[in-house]
Amino acid sequence: MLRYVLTRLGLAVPTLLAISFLVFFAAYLSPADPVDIILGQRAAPEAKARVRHEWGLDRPPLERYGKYVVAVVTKGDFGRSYQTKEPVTDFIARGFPNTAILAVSALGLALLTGIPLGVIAAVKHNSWIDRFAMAFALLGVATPSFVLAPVLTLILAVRMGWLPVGGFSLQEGLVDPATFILPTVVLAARSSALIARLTRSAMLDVLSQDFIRTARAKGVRPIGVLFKHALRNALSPILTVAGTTFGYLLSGSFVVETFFTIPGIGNQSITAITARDYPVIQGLALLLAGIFVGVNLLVDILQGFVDPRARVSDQKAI
Amino acid sequence: MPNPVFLTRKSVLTASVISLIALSSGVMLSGCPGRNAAGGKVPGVLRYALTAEPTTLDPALVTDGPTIDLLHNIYEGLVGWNDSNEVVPLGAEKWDVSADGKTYTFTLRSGVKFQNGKPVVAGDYAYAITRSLDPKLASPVALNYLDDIVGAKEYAAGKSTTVAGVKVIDDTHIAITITAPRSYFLGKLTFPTAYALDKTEVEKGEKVEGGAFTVTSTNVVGTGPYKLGSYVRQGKVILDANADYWAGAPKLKKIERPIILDAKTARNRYDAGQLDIVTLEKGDYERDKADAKVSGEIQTFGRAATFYLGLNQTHYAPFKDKRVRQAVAHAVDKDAIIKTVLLGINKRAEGVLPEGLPGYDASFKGLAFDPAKASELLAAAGYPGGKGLPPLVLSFREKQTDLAKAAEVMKEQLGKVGIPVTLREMEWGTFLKATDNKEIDLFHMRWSADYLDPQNFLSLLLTTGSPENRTGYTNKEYDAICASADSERDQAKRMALYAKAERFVVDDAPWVPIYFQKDLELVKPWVKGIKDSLMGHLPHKTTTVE
Repeated sequence: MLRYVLTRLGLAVPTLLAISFLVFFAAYLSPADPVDIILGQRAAPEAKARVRHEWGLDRPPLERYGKYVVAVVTKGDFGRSYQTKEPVTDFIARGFPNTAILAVSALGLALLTGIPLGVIAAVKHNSWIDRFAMAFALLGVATPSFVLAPVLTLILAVRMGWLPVGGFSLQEGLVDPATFILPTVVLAARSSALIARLTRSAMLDVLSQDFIRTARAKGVRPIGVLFKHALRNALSPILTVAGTTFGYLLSGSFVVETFFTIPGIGNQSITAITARDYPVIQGLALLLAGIFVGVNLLVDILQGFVDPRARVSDQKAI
Repeated sequence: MPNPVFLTRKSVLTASVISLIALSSGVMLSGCPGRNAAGGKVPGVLRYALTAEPTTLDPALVTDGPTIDLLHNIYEGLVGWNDSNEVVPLGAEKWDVSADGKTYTFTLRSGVKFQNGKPVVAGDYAYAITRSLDPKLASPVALNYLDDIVGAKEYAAGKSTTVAGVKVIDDTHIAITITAPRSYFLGKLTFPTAYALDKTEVEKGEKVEGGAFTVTSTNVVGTGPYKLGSYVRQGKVILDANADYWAGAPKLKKIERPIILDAKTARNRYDAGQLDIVTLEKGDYERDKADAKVSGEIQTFGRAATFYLGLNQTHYAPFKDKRVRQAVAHAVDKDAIIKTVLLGINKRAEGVLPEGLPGYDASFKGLAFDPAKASELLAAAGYPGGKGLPPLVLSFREKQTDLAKAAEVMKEQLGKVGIPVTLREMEWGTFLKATDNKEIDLFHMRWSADYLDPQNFLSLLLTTGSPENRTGYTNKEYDAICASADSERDQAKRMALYAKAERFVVDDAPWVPIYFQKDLELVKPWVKGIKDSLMGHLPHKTTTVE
């Protein structure tokens, strides 16, 4: 198992290096001059030359990339923002908790709604409830957040006045817990729909198994059959999807965070991209890549624990 | 697969209830459906969005409009703008100008205090101006506004240790000497680079790379009508009324500036009553105008900015011929652009100077839309029907809807008289650099005033060798008129000279002025007393929310 984990970790390193290389050189090849971003377009040429030297921007790109990687690996130093001059790590440390809490709430809501919806749809297979639940799920999958966010905001916040329009910020303190609701619902909608569809198909599969018939014949109560025997067996693929969904949610939702003005890493990414703040873009890209690699790794490891076949086949493949 | 028959009605009901609870959790969490989360007005508190994160809180380093709009409520200089677009005394009570027009002696207003309670003395203004020019601080704009001061350039270049032209006479008097008489100098002093700063507070701040101290959220201390209450990055800036402000405490208790990058979100918050002022997006204008409730909240503000076509005669040879330039001017139907692209909001620009700017002449008529005349001029210049004209590229800044749409219309209009145009949208930095280097044939751009004076348009943008002359236009006669105007001390004579210069340059057509900027905002009816200049909203000293 240790070898399996180490191999997986070893594969993550070149992936992250490749991503850092691509992002660094994409920024380098961009037409905008970093010094113009740091000092503004109308700065004096002498000041520009000095800042170029102080920030090491007059060094060859490969040397700069090398120094960047060494600083990241040895000191956890991702450089400083061109715009605000603050360390990128501070920038990320400020945004990530907002994204994380949003991701946890959205995943919780997605599981709380998706699983029961899938169970009901499977239990009442081919009934109007099933069709309604699946239509609902299809709508959830098909409606992008940039549509759902303004529609729900318009109805629930602007017209009805039940909820506030904006989102939350941990830095400002949780003045109004209601600020969580709309962003969480919008972010959870797609994941909830996916989980509902997956739960339904997994449950249908399990409910047709012999051991369910046996349990029923033994006189187990129907609710016990449903939740203790059927759902528990259907959970494995659901949890795998929940893991990857969590990675997707943790990587920050650009649309949801921007629309609801939540200062998470999605929002930060948009701000940094608009301002061409390359050190921040690089740091965030590496963080996002790290999250995806980390979550995939975790899912792989968990699968290895849960299902020894995965571990063996993977070792053979290696 | 058939329905599992062992499921009873009870079990289905149980599962359904669980699902329904989960599905409605979002609504349940809100506590009490039907409550008005939107709120409405908050008496004494003005709420309007910052459309971008403040780029700095240091007045010596600020360059962008949204941040200046924030900072001029916190800091104040010797002079500022009023709602008649005139320079008025603020930290200074008055000033005297020497007979040669070069030395301004300011008498400080008594009772002006920093927000830490310390009285302001002349040395604080001298410190602020010198600090802005400090090469270690590397202000990107200090020289643009302070370069007229004797010794400013030398100090900024590190060739001297003081700014020779700034002299503290005593605690209540400061003299600033400039290199030549410049009637517009006071306008330049309104910029944040001359805002009063307390050295002790500045030196509590962080150091920039060069070694100079800077102002961050921990050491913001000005003399303006509001104090920085709090600043949460990517969150909100709160300004609290400064009870000790020399003109009396402002009428508001607080200004809340949530940072909202998305225009639609800001609009939703306005509609829900969570913001008192919001920028009206052009796409919403027609709908809002037709809405009886909202239409009364639309306010239009003129700005000192002109959108124009720049004809670069150093890069596109035919533009060396005045007739070709004039043909372009006659081929552009400004009214059509205003009607179709700008929904009739903006005003046609006959000349270079925007409406309201000193020297603006409402009776002046520029080169009229006349495609027949344009064709005639082209033929006279040796390009009948545009034949023989090299391909012409019209460039403009990317992601600017109005610019892009106007460029499309102009392409079509120029094409009708035979001027072949292709469009190129460019990244802002690259575009600016290319126009700086005069590498662009024809460009559609905006010039927004640094200060309200014709010199900032006519001399700065179009005289030979000026760093902001992006067209390569050079005309000795025009340069001479502008030079006389720039140093003329009699205001009436100066304006007459600028009027002459404007007529001259519009006819010579290195620039084709298209329209003047107007900002649209929605303002809630409970917000009163906003004062505005062509530079933007003035500090909220008289604004009320009742």
